[in-house]
Formats: sequence, C-alpha cells, structure tokens
Amino acid sequence: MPNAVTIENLTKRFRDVSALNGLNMAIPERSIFGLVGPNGAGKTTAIKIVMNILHATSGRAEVLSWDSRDLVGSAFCSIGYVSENQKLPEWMRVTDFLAYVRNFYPTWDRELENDLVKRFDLPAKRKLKMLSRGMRMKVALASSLAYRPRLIVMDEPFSGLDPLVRDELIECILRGTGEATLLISSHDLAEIETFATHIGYLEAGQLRFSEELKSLASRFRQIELAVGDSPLPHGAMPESWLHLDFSSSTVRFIESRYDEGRTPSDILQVFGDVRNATYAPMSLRSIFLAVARDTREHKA
Amino acid sequence: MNQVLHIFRKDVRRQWLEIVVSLLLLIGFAWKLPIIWSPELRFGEAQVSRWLLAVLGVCLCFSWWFLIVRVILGESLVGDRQFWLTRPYQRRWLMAAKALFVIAFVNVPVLVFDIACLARVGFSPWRYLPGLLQGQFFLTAFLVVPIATISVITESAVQFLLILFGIVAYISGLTWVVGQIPSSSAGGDIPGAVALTVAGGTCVALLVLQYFRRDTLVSRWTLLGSVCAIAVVVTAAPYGRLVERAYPDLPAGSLVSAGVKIVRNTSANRDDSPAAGKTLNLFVPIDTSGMVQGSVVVVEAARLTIYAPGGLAWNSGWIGAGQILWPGPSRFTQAFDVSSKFYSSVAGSAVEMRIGLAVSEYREGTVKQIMVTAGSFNVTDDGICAIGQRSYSYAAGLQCKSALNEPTFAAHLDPMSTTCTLPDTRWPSLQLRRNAGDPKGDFGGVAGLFPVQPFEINFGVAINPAGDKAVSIVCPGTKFSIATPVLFSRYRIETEIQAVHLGSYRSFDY
Repeated sequence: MPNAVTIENLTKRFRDVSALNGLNMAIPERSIFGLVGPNGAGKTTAIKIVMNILHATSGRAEVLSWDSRDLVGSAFCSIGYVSENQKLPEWMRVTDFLAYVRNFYPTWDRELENDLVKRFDLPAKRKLKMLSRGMRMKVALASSLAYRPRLIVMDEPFSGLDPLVRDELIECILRGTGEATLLISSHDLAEIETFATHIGYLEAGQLRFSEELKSLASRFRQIELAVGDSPLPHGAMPESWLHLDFSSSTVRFIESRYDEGRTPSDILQVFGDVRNATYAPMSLRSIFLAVARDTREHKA
Repeated sequence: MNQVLHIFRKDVRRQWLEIVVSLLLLIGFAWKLPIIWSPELRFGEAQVSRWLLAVLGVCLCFSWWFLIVRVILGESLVGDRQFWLTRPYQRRWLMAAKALFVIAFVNVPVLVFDIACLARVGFSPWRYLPGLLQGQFFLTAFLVVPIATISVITESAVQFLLILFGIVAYISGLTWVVGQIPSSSAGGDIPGAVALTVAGGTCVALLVLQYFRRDTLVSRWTLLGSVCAIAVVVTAAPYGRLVERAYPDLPAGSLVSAGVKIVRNTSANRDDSPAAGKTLNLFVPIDTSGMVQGSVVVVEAARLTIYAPGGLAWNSGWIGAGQILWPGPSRFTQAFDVSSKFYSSVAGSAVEMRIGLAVSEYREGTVKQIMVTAGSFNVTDDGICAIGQRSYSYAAGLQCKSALNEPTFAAHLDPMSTTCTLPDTRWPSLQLRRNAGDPKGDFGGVAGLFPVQPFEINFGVAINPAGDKAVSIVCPGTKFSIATPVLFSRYRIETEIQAVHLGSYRSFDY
C-alpha cells in the first residue's frame, strides 16, 4: 500500500532541546494511524512539521507526494488539519466561518456541510468564542471534512473533552472521513484502540514501534507462570520479556514478541517445567504503559 | 484574485467599527483643519480649535495604526496555532488582500481628504496629482510600512507594543548618542539617508520574507542586524569631514560674496567667573557685508575653534546654524557650547577665536511683480494670498495658502510704493522691506494630513517718527516683487580674531 505520509530522519531542535531525533515513520494510505506517546515525546512537533507549520532542523517529510516544505496554498485542498489548541476566528458565527472557509475549496460539498452541521448539532448562529471546547472541535472538524480531503491530521482532538463528546466526535470522524487517511495523535489510548488500524509509538523524539494494531495486539501478552518453590531462572531471559516480577511461586512478565509456538519453549528453557501458565491479551493502554515503563527503566 | 476579495471582505466585516471610527475621525479632522488656515480667529477660540485639531490628528493616526495592526494580526504570520496556516491561502493573495485593505481605508480616504482640502481652498487637485501621489508614497513609507513590518513579526498586540516601545527606545537612545558626536547636528544628511535606506529596505524585505516564507526567526535576526547596521552608520560617520566635503573651501582668489567678521566685544561686560555646568554658552556676534545684490546666504553650520596660550585648543565641531543673510551690512549672533573645563583653564587669558561658516548661497531668479488686490490673489503658481485681518495686532501682513508645499521665494517691498493711507507722509522709511521667510524651501508637510500650507508674507509696519504709532503698509494696489531663489553655490568661509577674552562673549548682545 503506498504511503500518505513518509517521514525520513526528521530532527527538530528548539535551542538546546531536541524534540525529534531522526524520526522515521510511514503512514499507509487509507489507514487510521494513531500516533501515541507520553507528553513531550514530539507528537505535536512531528505533526506540525508534516503540516509545514514548523520547519525541521534536518530530515524531510513527504505528504501526499508533496515535500512538506512546499505545502502551502492549494496543496491544503486535499488535507484537513484539526488541533486541540488551534486559534479559530472567534468573532465569526459558525455559519460565517463555514461560509468563509468554503470559498477556499473547489471540492467543498455543501450537502456534506449541511449534513455535518446537523450531525454535529452545531449552533449555526452562535459565535465561535461562545462555543464549548468540544463544539469548537466539531466546527473545526466539520470545516475540515466538508471538502473531502485525502488526508486528515488531528492533533490531540480528544484532549479535555468529556466522554460523551469524545464518543460523538469519534463517531463523526469514522462516519465523515470515508476513504481518507487519518493521522491522529492522542493520549486517549482507549479511544484510539477502538478505531485505529495502525499505531505508532513515539518517545523522546524517536519511533519505538509502528505497526498494524492487530499485529501489535497479537504480539504482546501478559504472562503469569506458576513455577513452584524456586522461581529462579535457569538460563538467560529473552530481551522481549519486560517487567519481570518474581514472587514466592509466581513469575509475571510481559512478552513483547509473543508467538504461540516459540514463547512456551522459551519459558521452558528459562524456568524448566512450569505448573501453570496464563497468556492474557493486553489492551493498548497496558502495552503503552509497559513500553513507556521499560524505556524509563532502561534510561535509569 | 478571488481570494484577495474574499479575505478583504472578511476583514471589512471584522473591522467595520474601527473603519467607521477612523473615517469619522478623518471627517472631524477635515472639519477642523481650516482653523489653521485662518489666523484671524480670536486667540482663545483658535487655541481651543487647534487643540481639538491636534487631538483629532493624534487619534486619527492611532486609528490607522490600529486598523493596520489588527488587519495583519487577523492572519498572524507568527505562531503555529493559527487556523489559516493549514488552509489553502495563497500567500501572495493574502499579502495583496491586506494591502488592499490598507489602501482602501488609509490611503484612499487621505487622498480624497487631500483633494477635498485643495478644492475647498481653490486649487485644482488634478494639477497637483503628482504631489498628491508623492504624499501617498510618504504616508505609506513612514506610517503604513513600519507599522506593517512590526505587525508581521509579532503574534499579538502586546508583542507589537513591546517591539514598538523597543524601537522608540532605540531611536531615542541613538539620537542621544549621535547628539554627543561633534558635528553630527550639521553633517547628518548622508548618514541619515543611508540609515533611512537601510530601514526602508529592511521593512520591505521583512514584509516579503514573512508573507512568502514565514520565517520569523530569520526576520527578527534581520531586523536586529539592520538596527545594528544603522547604529554603526550613524555613530561611526565622519560628520566633520562630510560637512567639509559638502561645503568646500573657496579656492584662493575667489570672489566671496559674503564677507564675515567676528565682532570684538568690549571688555565692559567681561565675565571670567567659573561656569556652573559642564558647558557654558558663548555668544559670538558676527558682522556680514559685501553680499551681491539679489543673493541670499543661509548659514547652515558654524564651527568655533579656540587657540589659547600654551598650545591649548578647543573645537566645537560643526553645529547647525540657520541664519539668513541678505545683501547689505548685517549682524547675527552664533551661540556655541564650550566645555567648562576648557573655559576655566583659559578664562583669564587672551585667546584666538576662529569661526568657520558653512553657507549656501542662493541667487534670486526671475523677479515677478505682484499687485495686492482686495480679496484673494495669486502670489506664485502655488500660492493664494489675501490681506490678513488680525484682530489682536496692528500688523496686517498677507495671509497665504499654498498647495502641498510652502513655496520658496524672496519677497521685497519698497515702502514708498505703499497705497495705504498714512497719517504722515514721513512715516515709511526708505529701507527695502523683505519677507522674513526661509528661502531654502522644501519644508513642511507634503500631502497627507496637511495638503494646504498656510504661510505669511509680512513686510512689517510703518512707524511714526515718534515711534508710538504703527500702520500696515500692505493695502489693495500696493506692489511688491517676488523671486524664487536658486542655489548658486555651497562653500566654507572662515574668520578669526586675535587676543580676545572668552568672558566678553558670555552674555547675549541684542
């Protein structure tokens, strides 16, 4: 599948602080790509460079075959961008705002606009400054969907929203994006998990992993072993085992490269015969926390 | 082009109230402006009206600032959160839309105002179209572009004000520093022109850079670089040499039209007491004579050098002067600030004073005879005059108005030709009367807020032999002549006086 966004060796420094350190990432077309990572990981910086809002210190990004540095003017007719802290012209009413941005897009679909206004339940006559945070996100989203962009980039769209609004927004995104590629950065892993097809985990300006959600979910397992009185390992433990926890007769750890055939034999090799072993699938949130904690432990 | 109008319409909708306020202020200003063309008003009334006019003018300028800053910050070029950054805005159309807004609500109203003012006074606006367009250029260069430049490198009104205050502080500081440099007050034309060129170039470069590349860091460094470059240019300029180059020494044997001589003050008023401050004033009277008839000499700058016994010397550097010398013997006094330390060391001694004068000599061009009539009459191509009626003064000169610039001319009147009825025929002296205006010209406001320049031609009054009665000598039918002075030459002349005491020049001799 060709890529909608390709990032190569992207580096961004703000004086002495390095926000991105040689980031490489590819977002397949028509995917819903969730970019996750802890605070300060560089998610927003990466997105802003991709959108040509910030300039990279080095490296490059390609967006729908455009070099991101050339992304101005009509190139944005195929791209929608919504951000949690975007400054909208607050003096405008909702209808005025939509009418204003409409004129910039030759592919603007009035019917879709009306549909989005109805579906998002937008108060047409109210000024943007009078809207709640969630409503403002919906207006921004409606104004970014009505021209049917090929790529929609959303930076922390769920931040600060209550669960009901969040659910509504997700539903709107899923119904409104159609065939478009969606790049969405978020802390809200539980929500991302429900609709993302791909996940990229960014930490300290570098991509720790990037893969399809299905394969990610299948390779992480929370493993619990009942090993009798002596849980001490007989051999070296594989690097893919994270957060080993030994108690009197139980060993718990996370296998980050779970394989139905290989993992039990690895366990046998390390612990000998185990009385009982459970292999529990993990949520995205648990995977995220495990990886983040592992990175911190390695740093320490 | 569609985008230009679209963005323009949006900006008009957003700023309609400010636009209305700005236009109302301009209308108010236009309503009150004729007050400065009518010096006949009673003193109190005139003061109030002038004060109101000044307030309106200041508010009007601020309203333009506000309009320009707000319209540019509507699509701020600084920051990474503006919605428009990721919309299909064509940068060149965005810039054009902002320019269109400024033209529509700053430039065009001022142009209409200028045309209306000229027409009201009786000048044909179309005749002055090049001057009006030049006025628009100055308005754009000195108001719109600097404000727009600061706006494109700032994110908010607060940032704008901070940078503006920074620039005002910089200009004030630099002016003070340059003021401490000898000869800077007289030789600043070239460094000033270079500084203006650098500043103008930087402004245009920043506007283009921000609208087409939106690289605020580079833009701010460029601004800082040009600010430093201007500081270097104006502080390191060899002002003394620039004056000497602009006003060369007359070659030996040249005919000098202005003979100058320092007056030897009597020692009766000598004051050798020590000075209180860092400097003290010396007032040096200078006699002039021998000027060619039909010439006018303007003393542009003067330099005092003092040589004292024991090899002590002090030099004032070139300082701006501005005296106008007409043919015939005359005297003027030039003031110099002398270092108190130097003065104390030579106060009791006889010293040598040498004064250099940098002068521009003008020669009167074709002489034109004018006859005063009742009502308005033309004096020059660009001047309309009428006999003034001052209720608080006995003097009745000619109250005139000119289009755009104040005209430059020398006016002469032979008091014997007056048509005014004098109580005593012995009253008018036979001496030629001249208008006391500056013949250099090019002053004052070109088109802009002051498209009509009021000026006065005053030949003084006839005074009776007892000196207690005065009557105007300008009446309908009185003839006088005018001639436009043409620059003839620029040169330096020097005069010296030996064995004088500086204490003799401490008081001003009227």
